[in-house]
Amino acid sequence: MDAPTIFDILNRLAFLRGMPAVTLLLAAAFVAVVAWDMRPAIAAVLVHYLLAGFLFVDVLDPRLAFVYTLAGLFVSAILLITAWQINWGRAPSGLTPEEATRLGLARSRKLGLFSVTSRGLTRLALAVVVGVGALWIARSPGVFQASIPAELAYLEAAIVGLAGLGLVGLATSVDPLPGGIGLLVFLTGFGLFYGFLDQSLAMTVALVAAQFVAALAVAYLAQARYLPADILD
Amino acid sequence: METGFPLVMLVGPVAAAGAVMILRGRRRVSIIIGLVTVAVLTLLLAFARPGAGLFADNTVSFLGRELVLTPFIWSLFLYIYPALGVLFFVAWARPVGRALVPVGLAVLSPLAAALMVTPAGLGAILLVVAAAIVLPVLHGGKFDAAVPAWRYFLLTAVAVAPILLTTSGALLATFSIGWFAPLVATLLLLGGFPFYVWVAGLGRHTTPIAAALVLGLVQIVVVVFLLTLLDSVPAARATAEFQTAIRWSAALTTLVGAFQMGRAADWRGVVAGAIVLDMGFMLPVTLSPGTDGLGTALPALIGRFLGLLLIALGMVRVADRAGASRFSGWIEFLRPALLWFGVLSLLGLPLTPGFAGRWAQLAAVGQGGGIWPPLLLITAVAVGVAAVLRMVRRPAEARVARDGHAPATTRFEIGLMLFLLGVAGLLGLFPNLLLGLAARMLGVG
Repeated sequence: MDAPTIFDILNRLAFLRGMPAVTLLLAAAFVAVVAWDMRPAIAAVLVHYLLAGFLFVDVLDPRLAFVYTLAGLFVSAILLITAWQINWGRAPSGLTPEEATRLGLARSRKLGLFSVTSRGLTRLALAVVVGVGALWIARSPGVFQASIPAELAYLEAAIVGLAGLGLVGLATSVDPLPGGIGLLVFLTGFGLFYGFLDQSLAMTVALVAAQFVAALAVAYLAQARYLPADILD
Repeated sequence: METGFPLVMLVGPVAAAGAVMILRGRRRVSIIIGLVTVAVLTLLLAFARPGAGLFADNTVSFLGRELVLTPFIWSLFLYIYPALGVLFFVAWARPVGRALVPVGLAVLSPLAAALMVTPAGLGAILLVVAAAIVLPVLHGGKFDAAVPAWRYFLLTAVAVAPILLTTSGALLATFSIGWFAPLVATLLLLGGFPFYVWVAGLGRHTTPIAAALVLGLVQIVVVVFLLTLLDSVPAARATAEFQTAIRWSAALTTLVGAFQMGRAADWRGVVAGAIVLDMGFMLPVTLSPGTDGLGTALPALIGRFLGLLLIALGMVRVADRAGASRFSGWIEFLRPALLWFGVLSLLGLPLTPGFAGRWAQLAAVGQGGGIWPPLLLITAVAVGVAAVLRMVRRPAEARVARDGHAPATTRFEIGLMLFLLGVAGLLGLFPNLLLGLAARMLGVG
């Protein structure tokens, strides 16, 4: 039996193309940015890369879109290993308030079943605002009509939503891992838009390389920031 | 694939960095390799003047993209390579961690490529690579330094978006706010208000040698890249919105720096505030097009690098007193002198190397921007000077941040201190030396 080509895979998943992919992609990006436990966050990052690949097919050569998706898998793997090494972003147990302050950990409070921080609530509120903005653009597209053709106007919601959610993620966290997820989501949204401006191989590869570099920098600094917790124990 | 001389600039430093990584356990051997590498690179580069040197081919092509060594980039790296050598000498005297030499060498490649590559959009990605490479030096094993190091990388990475929008020209053609992308790119890369937060953190939590590498040498390439980018969109730069935003951002950044200096409890805080203040003064150079902007930026950046080197040698912990009684008289005089001179140079006072670019920076803010921005800049410098005087008058034990023990001072270190103090004094007395050097680098002198 022959292995399916990229085009076979795209044909089988044709039902996802267009607005369904945009909706699922924004939902995944929302979870990636808002989730405080890194396990669902990184699963959402992986889903976001897979779905972004579908949208890139509408912008770039399908083979380049596949390369972008493949790079996303590697980036997700880097983040997964990093998150595992830092105990999924959870603070070490048994820290005194002084130690937690020294580590820069925000004080959390009980909200029903969940334990949340002020920063987490701010992130959630801003992410909801961005989601509403993306919904508004999806209902009345044409913001980027000079760059994006009318038949692909559904991508505008994805671009605005991803860039906005990414900015929320990177601006509301001082930790490299959640901030880095925000950065990667932002770069995906920008990459979608920039695909309409420059479809050259060199720039596409460069933007993929930027995602790799960002993932490595996040991995290095996330571990560097977690190390003192081990020392405290 | 065309293989001209620039290939040496791209491959040579990375190969040497790899060799140093293998020998990471031997600090002095690493530094010697670093010194030999920058010496060889300087020598080869000196013979490779575009169009006139022994290596006539000044182009490398890769995947259809060309990297061209222009006469200006040639002269710029004739400064950067020896300057990195001086940094390595300082690291010989003041150990700062084993990552400095390999990182210092490895970062030379993406920096050179960022300036040589066309189109400029690829250069933005290479600046991100450079920012990632310097992270181990910025972090330096300190928990507190991880966050500012992350912010530095983050803002450099985010700057890719406005840079690419600027190079594509899409925003300029589509929206009436075409000046917005160049403005955001400028503020992100130069740490202007409201994106100054990484500068303050780096100044506070990293070593002055790391700051000299990143804010002195790496930043010179960033500034040149940015000014070249802005030269490609003269209409956006000429808009009143862009010019006003830059002037006010410069004023607010310097005020934040002065405020931080004023409330600092130790010299680290004063230095961190002075760095923010100096970064604020860098913003106005983006208002001047072409060689005018570069001619102002280069002396200011060389002055900043020298100031940070002086601070690196001057800001040593109290424990040093017990380390070398033989030179204690010299040291007690020299160290504070270097530290004070270095900080005053960052403030850009007359008779310091930092003064060379200040007048032109103030003039750029004052031209057509009303009285308030230049007045605020001068006020910030005055507050900064007052903060330095306040710290000088405090007891020695209270003003030095004690976060470790320094090794004993050697004759080599004293010699290095005297040499740098002499160079700084000379450049302070004759600021035209720096201005002339910048003019020669730009080919207008």
